[in-house]
Amino acid sequence: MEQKINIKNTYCQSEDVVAREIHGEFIIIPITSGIGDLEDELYTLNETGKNIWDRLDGKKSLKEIAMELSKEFDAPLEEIEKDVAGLTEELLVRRIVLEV
Amino acid sequence: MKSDKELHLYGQDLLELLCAVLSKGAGFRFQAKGFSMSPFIKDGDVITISPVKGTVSQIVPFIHPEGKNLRVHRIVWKTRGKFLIKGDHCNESDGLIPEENILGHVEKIERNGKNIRFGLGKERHLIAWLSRKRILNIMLFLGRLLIPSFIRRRIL
Repeated sequence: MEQKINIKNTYCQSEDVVAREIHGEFIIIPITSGIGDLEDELYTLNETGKNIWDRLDGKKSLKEIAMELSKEFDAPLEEIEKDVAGLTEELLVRRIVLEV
Repeated sequence: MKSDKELHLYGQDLLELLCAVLSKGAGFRFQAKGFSMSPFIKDGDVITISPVKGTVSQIVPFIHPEGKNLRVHRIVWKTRGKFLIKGDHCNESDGLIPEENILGHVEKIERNGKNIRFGLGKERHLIAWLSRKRILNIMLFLGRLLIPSFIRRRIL
């Protein structure tokens, strides 16, 4: 199922997930059909992903998040926007984040 | 983001995730490790925990009061408001465990992609009684000696 991501839109973390940092790995377990599945539905985010995840607060648009990260890491905005949109799209497909 | 099937969590990490998921009223599915519940739960079986607390004869995840570690064993008796819990393959019980230490109950066991019902149905009452009376281990030992392995594999 493909989801259209709009960089101007705002997204928030779903309440139906458990997210924890364990031994340097950032782990996300979505709760699907009433089950948190450690075997088949455990996702990990790298540091960039974690930085994006932390900012998906339902207040800032993806564009604003990308601008923040671009400044913080002194990286080209265009590349950061791609990363932010790409990750958000993956998270949206799995209902780990929701459009506000 | 990557789907991580190689990441295996144990001990306090597993306990933390289990509690976090159950606190949302959801079930928790993970791979069991160890032999203390063999042959009903074998090393590598995938079990699903329901957030509804278990009762006598059910297999339950609980926090052991001494080690504060996670165990998944069977309740074999209830006395003075506490539960006597014991691994089906263990000689000794875990002792009397307060209800608040019990986190849920095992509602599903999967082995090699197949659902295993034996040990979760009505026969669990007999298993709990045999375990409490320390007869279960003797029966399992004799079963290993007397019943050929290819038949045992079909039963359990």
